[in-house]
Amino acid sequence: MGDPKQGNQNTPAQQHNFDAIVVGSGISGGWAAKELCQKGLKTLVLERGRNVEHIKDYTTAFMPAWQFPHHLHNSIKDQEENPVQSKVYNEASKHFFVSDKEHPYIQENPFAWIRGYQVGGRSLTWGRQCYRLSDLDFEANAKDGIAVDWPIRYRDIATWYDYVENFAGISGRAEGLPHLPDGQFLPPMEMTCIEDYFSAQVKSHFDDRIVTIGRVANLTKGWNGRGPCQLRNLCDRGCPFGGYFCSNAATLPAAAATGNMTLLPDSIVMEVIFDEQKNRAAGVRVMDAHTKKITEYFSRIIFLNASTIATAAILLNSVSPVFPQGLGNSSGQIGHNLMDHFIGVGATGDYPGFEDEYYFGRRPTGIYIPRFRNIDEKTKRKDYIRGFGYQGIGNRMEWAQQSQVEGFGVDFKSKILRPGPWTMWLGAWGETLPYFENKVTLDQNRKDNWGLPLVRIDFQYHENEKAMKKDVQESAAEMLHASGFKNIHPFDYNQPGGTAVHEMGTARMGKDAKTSVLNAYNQMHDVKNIFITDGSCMTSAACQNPSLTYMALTARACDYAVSELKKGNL
Amino acid sequence: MKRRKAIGRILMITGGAITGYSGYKWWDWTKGPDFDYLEKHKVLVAALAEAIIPGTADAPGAKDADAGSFIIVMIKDCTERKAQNKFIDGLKELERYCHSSFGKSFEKCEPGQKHQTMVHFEERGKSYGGIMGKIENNFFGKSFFETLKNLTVLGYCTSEAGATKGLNYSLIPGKFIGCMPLQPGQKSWATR
Repeated sequence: MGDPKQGNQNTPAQQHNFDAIVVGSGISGGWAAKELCQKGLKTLVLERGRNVEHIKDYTTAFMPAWQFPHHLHNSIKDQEENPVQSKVYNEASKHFFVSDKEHPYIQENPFAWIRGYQVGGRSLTWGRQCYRLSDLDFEANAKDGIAVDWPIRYRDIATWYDYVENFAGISGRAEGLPHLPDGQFLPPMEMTCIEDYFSAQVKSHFDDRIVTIGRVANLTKGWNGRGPCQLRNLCDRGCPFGGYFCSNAATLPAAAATGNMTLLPDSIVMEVIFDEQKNRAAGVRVMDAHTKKITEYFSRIIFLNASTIATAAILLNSVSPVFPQGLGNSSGQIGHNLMDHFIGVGATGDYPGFEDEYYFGRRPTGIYIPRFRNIDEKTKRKDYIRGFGYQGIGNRMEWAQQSQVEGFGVDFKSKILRPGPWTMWLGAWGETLPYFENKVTLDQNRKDNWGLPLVRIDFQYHENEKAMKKDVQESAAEMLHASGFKNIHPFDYNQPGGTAVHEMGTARMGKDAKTSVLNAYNQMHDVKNIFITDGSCMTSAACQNPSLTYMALTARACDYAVSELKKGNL
Repeated sequence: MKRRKAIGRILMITGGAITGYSGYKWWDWTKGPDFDYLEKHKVLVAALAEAIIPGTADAPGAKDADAGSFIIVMIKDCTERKAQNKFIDGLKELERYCHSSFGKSFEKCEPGQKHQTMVHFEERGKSYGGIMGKIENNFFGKSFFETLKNLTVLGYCTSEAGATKGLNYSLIPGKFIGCMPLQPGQKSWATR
């Protein structure tokens, strides 16, 4: 590991030397590539999966249900082979998720590690919800006296939110809430009749709550040469209209346009090479996913954006005499404090009325009820800290939901082909706390196809999440009840960790090198030329969908890294 | 009330030990499904689907949508073992019922006879509400009639004929209108 020359005898050195290396091409890797390339750095982007070219490789984008063997349903055989990924893909999006069989991991407790190994990563299939964090979130750990304090506050990141929103394109409505700051929004999408009605009811019955339209990275007008969104709601197949933000449509083309990017798919980063003499990262050791040939690449700075669990795994696998427990792990925090949001908890209800109203098109978002618990003294809970936001959708029952219709024959047919009663679904995205014992480790006795140790994930929810889940169900039912809904059913799908696909926290930011991995600029305390801006940097989870924050932190860290490079500090 | 009793038994079973009668039933539900029979009765399945969603003047029926073929594919590829067996056993039972009641196969039955058969099996297939119903579905798999109905609706509504002529389908809506008056005779959206 100390010998950076090993393995490169056959190729000219200049092909292996770059100003910057970015590991991963998902949401945060795409942003790192764009920012670094636009700032003039010759940048190598390494992606462990196959190439996915915008538009060309969205092979299922125009296929209606009947063109798939099971009309989009996964077969039992497929579910057995891919018990985790098949929970989130269907026949139309399967090719954007890994095979569980080929990419095993160990679950100490049930944990869904959803992955998309391809250029663009999970930015192709993400939920696209975009919410800013605020000081309610950045101050939370310090105020509650848990984990460590965030090294930044909202003022440090606010203009970076502006910056990434202005490029990505986020539709939404300004609400003036201090704890869910407004952003640079494209026009909001419309609510359905029932959502409009529910919104007005909630406002009149609860002075601490509002219902707004989902803030989503779908373009309600043409934006930076992309979109607009065609309201197909088939986003996870890839969008031939560039109607939503993903690396493939937005950041990677911008990076490529500079002429500074070298993008290498099928390149698995095994470890970061540490130069003991210079006390810095020299580069990365990479295995070709197909030929298994090992190559080394060198650079002045490295951005790790492999995603929360994979980034931790790379660091833990990068051992050297100086860092026997993994690169930059003098704090012992790498792999720990794994968080996700809990989802699949809420309530549903039916509404008798609005029979003569309907809607047109398929909106790729729902409504949002921003957090209203533990905002201030008045909203403080005795049974748990932090809070949750609801996402929801109000629409008419259509055929797929009408299986309970009695009978068969002509009458039955006419009923299922007509719009049914209005229903509302409300589900929370709840904050989970950073527990040291929720962790990612490597199992040196079990290896994958590439000889790399398997990842072991040990994750459990605790009392705080359990108490919050109870309130989530009660509060959802309470709002539906107050708004005149009938047939109200609170629910908890009891989904395992990972289901929100919001893994966070395995290389947290903090002020103190003894208790955290990254500083206020996502720079490693221990190894100054490594930056980590994927979900692993998160010091707490907040309850907002986190991708927008990764984008903003990435752009900010790139700006800092390049200025440090120019000053000769890196 | 045989079924209710059997559910009661399952409620009493603890520690996963299944013995005696329940053990036999367990084997019966989890045996290798008789796909040969299924393949040979495509015409029957298609006729049953058409009885659920018949062709009418205003919209194609299950036959036009080839829902029968879809049902067979789904039973083979996308259905749990217990429900597979229940479905195929249900088909066999329905065939016996038609022969003993009317002396002919379902496909050849008069409309009234078909109706009587469907009512009979719908009644038998009704699941209990609440916890009993949940346990029943988990342990026994969905009833023959429920599976038939669900797959017919699914197959029809996601077929080209069903989605575009029975329902309202738009490949590229291009806009979203959140609230608009329902048109007279308006059909549901095929996809959301």
